[in-house]
Amino acid sequence: MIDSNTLGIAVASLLVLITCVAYYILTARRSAVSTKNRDPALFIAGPSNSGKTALYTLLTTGDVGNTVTSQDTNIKKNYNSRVSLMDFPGHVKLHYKLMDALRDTEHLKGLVFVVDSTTDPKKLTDTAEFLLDILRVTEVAKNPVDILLACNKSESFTARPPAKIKEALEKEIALAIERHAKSLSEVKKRRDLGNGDEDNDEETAGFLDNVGGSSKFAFSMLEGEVDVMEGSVLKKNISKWEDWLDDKMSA
Amino acid sequence: MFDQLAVYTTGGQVLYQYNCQGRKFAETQINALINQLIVSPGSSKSNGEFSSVNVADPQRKGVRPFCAQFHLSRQPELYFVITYAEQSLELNKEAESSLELALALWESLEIGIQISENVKNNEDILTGLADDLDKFGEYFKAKYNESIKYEPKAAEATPAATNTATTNTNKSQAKPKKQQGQGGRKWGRDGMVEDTSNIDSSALDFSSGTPSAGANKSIPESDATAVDKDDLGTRTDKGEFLIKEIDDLLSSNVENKREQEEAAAEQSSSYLTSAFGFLQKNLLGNKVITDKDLKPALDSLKSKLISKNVAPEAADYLTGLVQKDLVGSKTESWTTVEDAARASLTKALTQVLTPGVSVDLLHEIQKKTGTKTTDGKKSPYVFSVVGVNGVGKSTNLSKLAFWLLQNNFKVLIVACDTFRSGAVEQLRVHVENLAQLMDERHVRGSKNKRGKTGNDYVELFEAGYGGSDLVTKIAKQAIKYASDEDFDIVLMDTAGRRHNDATLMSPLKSFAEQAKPDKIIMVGEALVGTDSVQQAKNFNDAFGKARNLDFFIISKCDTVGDMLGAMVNMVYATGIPILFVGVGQTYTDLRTLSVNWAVNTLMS
Repeated sequence: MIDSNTLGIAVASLLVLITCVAYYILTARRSAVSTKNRDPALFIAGPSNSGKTALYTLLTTGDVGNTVTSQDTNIKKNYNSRVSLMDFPGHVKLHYKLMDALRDTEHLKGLVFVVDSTTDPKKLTDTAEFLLDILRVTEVAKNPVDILLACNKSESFTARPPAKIKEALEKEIALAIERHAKSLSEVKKRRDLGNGDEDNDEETAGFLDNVGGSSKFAFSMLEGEVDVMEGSVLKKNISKWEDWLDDKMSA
Repeated sequence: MFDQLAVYTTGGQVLYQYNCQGRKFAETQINALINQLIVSPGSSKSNGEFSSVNVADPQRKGVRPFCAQFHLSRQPELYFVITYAEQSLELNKEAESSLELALALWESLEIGIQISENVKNNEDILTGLADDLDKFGEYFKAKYNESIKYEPKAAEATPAATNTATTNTNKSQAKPKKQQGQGGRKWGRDGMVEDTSNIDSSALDFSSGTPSAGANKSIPESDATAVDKDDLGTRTDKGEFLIKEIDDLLSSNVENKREQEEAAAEQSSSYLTSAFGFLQKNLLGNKVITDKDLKPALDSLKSKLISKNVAPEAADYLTGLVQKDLVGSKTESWTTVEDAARASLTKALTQVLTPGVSVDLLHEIQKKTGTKTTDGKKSPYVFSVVGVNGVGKSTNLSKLAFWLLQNNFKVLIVACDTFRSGAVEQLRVHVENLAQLMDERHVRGSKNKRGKTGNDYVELFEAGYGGSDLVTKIAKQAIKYASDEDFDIVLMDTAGRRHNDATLMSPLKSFAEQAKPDKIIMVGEALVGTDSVQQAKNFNDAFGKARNLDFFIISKCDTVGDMLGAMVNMVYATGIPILFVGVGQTYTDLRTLSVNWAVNTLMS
């Protein structure tokens, strides 16, 4: 003998519950498609063989281990309070991992771009192109990302001073922008692949217009701050970089 | 004897390294191997548990060609690599058995489990493993030296479960002597050193890794030999103890493993039948993916790839990547196994299609034409275009020429197709068109001031029809002519040839050797199906060991809709990047490949 009132309430509340669950599942699934990483993070990137993984090991363990070419990202969660530290592979074929992560990370506290300072400044073309690729993403983000150009291997006899590397990189980036303007355009999407991509394209072009207006490129033109500092992972002489990292993490 | 043994993570951290020759460990060798595996994954041959690969990188100087056998373990992902000088039955076998030994030891010391644990707890990967890694190094060296002393077969562990008492005492002895090792890096010491007086000298002496191997000859100092002699007194004794200990360890491990496997099988079967497992798989997510869950998803993805013209071989490879990526991992909340597989396949496709080297043509052209030869002449940048008949070599060459002309380069087009009738005339038409596009006042059919077809911007170099020796002659003459007349670019059109006919393919090698083109481009059409794998392979091999193709142009992409599988096939087969795609009939219809576009089209 159940009261019809009680039954009505039970049915109604059950219905509400079911709708809530269904709604939750649907929204959760939709958001799962475009997963944004909300945790704050610090990235280590740079060309192959510049000492990224060595720096990562030094930062996380306080010791320098031997390293070989990375094929996957090293991630240290909660490196400092909630900030995670990520070390991306430098191989050209694996750059997409970094690019994907740059787009997906909402709170990027900073990016350490490791450069081998023993490289001949004339051979920095690839490094400059890589940095330009990164800038294309970071400069259009809501909060421009600060970048540290970490000139590694300063212990070496042939190491160049950071100011010189910065200058060489600026020159090479200017040339690269010029070349990109002349290159054949990319295949355009035949089908509508979502508006997000197109917006991105326009914004990227905007960034290049700002910079390309005065045929010269300087890091000071960028919205994010770019610092250049020397250091040596092998000799554990990275106090300047650590200060920079602490600074960014506390910000 | 093999060269080096290395154990490293996919993140690039070296856990263990050992140079068998007693030299300094050469990371460059391992890096060359990794590079090759990333760029052309198709080059490794898998035989069961181990894969073998020949590494010869013409671009990288200072690394001599070598062979490697490796095993990639899952959970945690670790590479076990053994490199050795050359392919021979004996060395292959030795590498295999050494690798087996290393794996067995690794497992019985439970280092892998500890690493997984560390990863789970967000600890540093090597936390608390220094001792175990030292022990691993010591055991491996002891066992390996034992095996090469007698017979290669000895490496297959023979369980000697007797005499537990001695092994126990030995274990307790084994502990204190490794306190020196730090971070798994000071492994160079042999395991027999025990008394403190010896530790200093041997800790410094990194080359004394192999007491019984021939490598010790390289230590001339009298000090070192004295130390070795001290060891000799006790070595046989201790050596045997050690081997027994290792054997014990290995045999106990086999039993453990079996038990574990049974338990795991029981668990998974009960798991699957539950309704909760079904929900997790299809709705809730957070499910540990097994081979069984993944199979239907993989099958459907594979048939989809094949329907887009991807060769079964390449599709197998791609789904294999997905399987490697996903089995054992957990799906995210609210994602099904199918979704996870799709996302993983997108990643795999992106990685396959992304070029392994950055190709910036304008930069390279500027660099080369900017440097003058000794007699003050310009050295032109030489392209040559190869491919099967009728794929659009001449058309794409003209498109390329148009783009280069737009960038203010002077272009010389060379008719190296001396075989097919009308080939030269076809190129002449292209040159006339291009000349007209560059300068409206150009009169068709007129000769320029040097008496050739074309104008100041673009010109045709032709020498009629003939055999294959004529081709190399034309090529050399054309380059000299271009350098004399101040051209920036030389574009050579070659005759189309069937890729599986050796008599047609063989002239390509001498052509490449004589003409020395800066870039050899293969034009492949998007229309071709499974055959594209063989086409790309054969053309890539045709230039001999010292030379490869530099990049592909995929033509006729506008005619296939979303069936872009040929792209995947050709890159999969050779590891050579696609630089341009042809998307239409006019001179401006040449585009840079956008990897995102290709992947999205293939996945749609």
